[in-house]
Amino acid sequence: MALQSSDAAPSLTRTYEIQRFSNGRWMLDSVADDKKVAIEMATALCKGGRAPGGVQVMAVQQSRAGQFSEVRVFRSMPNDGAAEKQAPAPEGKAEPKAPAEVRDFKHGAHADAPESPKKERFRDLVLALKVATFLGIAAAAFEAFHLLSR
Amino acid sequence: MHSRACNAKTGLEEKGSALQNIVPMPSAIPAPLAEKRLVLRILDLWRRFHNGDEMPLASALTPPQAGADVDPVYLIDICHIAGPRFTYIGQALQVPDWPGQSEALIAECPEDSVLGLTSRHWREIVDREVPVTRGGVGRNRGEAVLYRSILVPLADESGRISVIMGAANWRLVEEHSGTPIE
Repeated sequence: MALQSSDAAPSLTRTYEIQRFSNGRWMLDSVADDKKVAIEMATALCKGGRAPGGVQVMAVQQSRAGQFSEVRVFRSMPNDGAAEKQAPAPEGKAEPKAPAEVRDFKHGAHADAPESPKKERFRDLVLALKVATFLGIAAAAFEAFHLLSR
Repeated sequence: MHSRACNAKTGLEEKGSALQNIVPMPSAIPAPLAEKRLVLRILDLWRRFHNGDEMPLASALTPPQAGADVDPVYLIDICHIAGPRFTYIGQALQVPDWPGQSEALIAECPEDSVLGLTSRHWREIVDREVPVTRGGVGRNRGEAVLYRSILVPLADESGRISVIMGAANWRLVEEHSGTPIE
């Protein structure tokens, strides 16, 4: 690990908010500056029985300009199937697919990113070529059958 | 991490780099959660003093309640007229050459100490009203250290945050030329 000053002001700051589900909403429980520590704190919260409704860790990233984004990096619910329905994530947040799921910005963004138009155009072109090939083969077969049957 | 790689070489180095303020939990007191991390133990202590949704009272959660973890603990009175000041500094966090010590203002605490590095984030706890843990690299007693700390809010009888309890531990790290700490 490269040693760096804790005084250095980075262009992006990232904190991890440990939240527990209580009275129908997510409540801030504690804050950490390290993902591993944050998940350990969330796990301890679950094990201690102090978050019967569930617990999650949100990674909150904020730029100097004030823009911020957040993504859920960990979640543990008592019964995930039922809790999924009664505890929808706040708007703009990635929905996890498994209990106690661990994600990060990179993977979350990949999962939710829409496909680019260029990729879609290429896919259409491939489909058109396939159809044309199939029609050509079908026409040749029909012609061959027609000739043989004379 | 280079220091970890070095520590893996010999058992002696491993021992030397261990967190200095980890004190084994006494076996006579059964711990509900035998956490390795000091920050998790302090967080668990803070949660145990919760009264429903009410924040733990400063009059109830005092340093002796930390048991074996009392040495790396400190208290900050944020309501003092002169500004936030220390009301208690555990033995492990004492700054030898600093005349201030207990009752001293946070603003006067040397920054090249774990106490100074960790206590300066006190305002974030007042703003968020929840425990905050922070770690990083800094200097303590002239040596490069990797530290981790936690600050937890404590309330007065009216429910307002009046005191912040902090705890920190650290280990020495190797300093490389060309990568200054400060």
